[in-house]
Amino acid sequence: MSTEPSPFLRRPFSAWVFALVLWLPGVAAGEESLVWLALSDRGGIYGEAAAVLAGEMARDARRTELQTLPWQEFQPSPARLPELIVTLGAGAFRGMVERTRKEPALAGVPILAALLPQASYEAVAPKPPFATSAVFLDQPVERYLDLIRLAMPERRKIGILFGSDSSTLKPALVKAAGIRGMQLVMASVEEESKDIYPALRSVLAEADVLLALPDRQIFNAGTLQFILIASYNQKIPVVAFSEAYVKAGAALVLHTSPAQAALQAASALRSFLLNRTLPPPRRSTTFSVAFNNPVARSLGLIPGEPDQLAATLRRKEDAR
Amino acid sequence: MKFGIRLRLLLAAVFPAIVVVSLLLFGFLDRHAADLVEALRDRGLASARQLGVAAEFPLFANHTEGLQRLTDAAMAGDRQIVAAAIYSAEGKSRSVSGRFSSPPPPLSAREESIVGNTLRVVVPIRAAAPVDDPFSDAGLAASSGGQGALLGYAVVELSLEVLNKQKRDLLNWSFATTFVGLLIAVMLSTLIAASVTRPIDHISRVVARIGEGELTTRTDVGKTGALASLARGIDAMAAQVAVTQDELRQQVALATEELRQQKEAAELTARVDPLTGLASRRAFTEKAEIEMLRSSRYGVPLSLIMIDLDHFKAINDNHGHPTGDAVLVSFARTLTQVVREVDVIGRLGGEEFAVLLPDTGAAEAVQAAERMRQAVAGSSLYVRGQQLSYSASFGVAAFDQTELSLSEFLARADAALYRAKAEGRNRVALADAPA
Repeated sequence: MSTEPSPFLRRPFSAWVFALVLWLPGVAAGEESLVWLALSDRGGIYGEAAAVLAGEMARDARRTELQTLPWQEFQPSPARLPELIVTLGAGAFRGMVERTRKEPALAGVPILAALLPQASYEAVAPKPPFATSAVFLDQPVERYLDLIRLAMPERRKIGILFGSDSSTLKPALVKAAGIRGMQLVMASVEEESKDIYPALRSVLAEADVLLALPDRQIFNAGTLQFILIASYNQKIPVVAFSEAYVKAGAALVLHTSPAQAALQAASALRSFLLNRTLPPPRRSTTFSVAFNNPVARSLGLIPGEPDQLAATLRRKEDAR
Repeated sequence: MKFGIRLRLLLAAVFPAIVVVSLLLFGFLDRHAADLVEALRDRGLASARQLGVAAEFPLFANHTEGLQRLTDAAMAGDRQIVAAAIYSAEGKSRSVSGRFSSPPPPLSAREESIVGNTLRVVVPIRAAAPVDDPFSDAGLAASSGGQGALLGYAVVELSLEVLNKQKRDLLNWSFATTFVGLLIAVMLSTLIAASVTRPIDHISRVVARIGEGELTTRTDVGKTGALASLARGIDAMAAQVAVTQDELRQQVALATEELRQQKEAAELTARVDPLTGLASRRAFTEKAEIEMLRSSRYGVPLSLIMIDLDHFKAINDNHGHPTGDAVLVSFARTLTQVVREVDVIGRLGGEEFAVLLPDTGAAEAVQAAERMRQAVAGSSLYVRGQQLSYSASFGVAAFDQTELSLSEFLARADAALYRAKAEGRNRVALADAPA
């Protein structure tokens, strides 16, 4: 897990004073800030992230009342409305955007989305003046390439399937691959097409590693299993973006854990409570690495310890 | 009647059995048929699921030959499968083996339906969704309730022919068994019924014969079987009837005899005066009428003497009635001694007597009367040591053919008697000829 210093701690002293001034009227009135923590689901990764976020906020000297519930279960009281809604999960974000549109009591309440992919956020996020921001799960593309170079240096032909969500990443990828001396084997799947197999086959025919990037058109419940099977049959390791994919059979995964996402969300929340302004949406600043050991070994990879690999990767980034 | 009882007994035994067996049979067939269909449905579901799981990757990879191999294999693996197919999520046919009885309807959820003579099973093919993946969060909520993405459908059609044959076989077997069972039941109940009907027949015949009067008829112990006690009762009853009839006959004979004797006695009493033994008034009247007819027809003479004891009232008053009766008896005996055999003496009542003298004219009659008067006057009897004498007066009349009735004849004799009394008693007077 990453222990990167929070941006909050890096703030200059003047900001602290400013925050104190803003905060004082609330203290004088004896009111705590009310924040709703809306979850996609009660348990699982959402419950885990919520616990970390709540624990982090409890450590603050300043008291914040955090109400944690699945997003559907909140009942707004006109006497006390939340100052901010933090959503964990794409479902919670989508649901809460819908509620602020429909329920007058919630109109104008800013939303901070966490634990969701950038594509899901962009598909739903309303235009200004609605105040929304996010902490994405998505990693910078360069990080994937660096991880591949660290974990399997001999594999340099990177196969990538682009769909509508991920096609915007193409220029950044081409640039990053060029810098690192890697070859990209790319195939695009047309927007309406559900049949990704021809594109997958063409990519697997040439590439020696398949890089999966978040794209709902390509990697979804209906395809994931088969992409993993097809790749495995061709002895091509899959490098993916979600821990769940390791369990499903991906060899290597670069992801932001729920706890990491929660800490990043806590940092953004503190920023909001100080400034009354949401920071701009950000990609994941922290990350973890995970392997599927049997798959990795059977493909002839000896990647070492995942934490060590993550730490090496982080040092490289910091050095840059 | 014999047939009626047997049939009823038979029905009593067999009808409930038929009802129970029918209920059991239909209940069993119904349940069994449902079980058979259920088993076939499970088999179809299992085949379709297996086909669906195997078809996941070929479906994703659009591997038509692979899909075709799968559906062919599914058909080869189970004789009852007449058709198997894989459809895409959009409902497009990807591979078909065999012939479907009808084109499949729009596919949606899992379903089983019986179309004509086939059972069609449709199972959706779904890919397993990754667990706890924030990237699939949006996709999950959008797809069908977290069941995983729909990849297509496996459709399997099974023939119900084998099932129907099994059902028919079962039905035939059931009917045959039931028929044989009922046949045995009928035979048994006929045998059992015979043990009742045969004695009833025998007893009925005996009763009929007794009814016709053959009271000596008895049941045969060897033929009464289960109804032996009834037969004994009927025998006892017949015996009792016979005894009663004999007694009755005897009593009737006795009573008849008694009645006859009584009648004879009564007749005798009517014709003979009980005190004197002379003819009664009635007997005398009959005799007199007969003699009057004879006299009229043959022209023979006929005379009549009316007699009355003199002072009889005084005898009764002075000596008592027993003495009076003794005088009457003595008087009668005296008269009897002096008349002819053909003459008829009658006591007409009290101390009044009459004597009918056939073939006797007036003169002879007067002589006879005179003889009688002397005999009476000469006789006497002792009463308590005392001699008692008495006399009588006589009126004589001779029959005249112009007289039409006995009463006129008697009246003339009576008138002569009256004259004798009037002339001083103890004498004979002759009546005048009729005017």
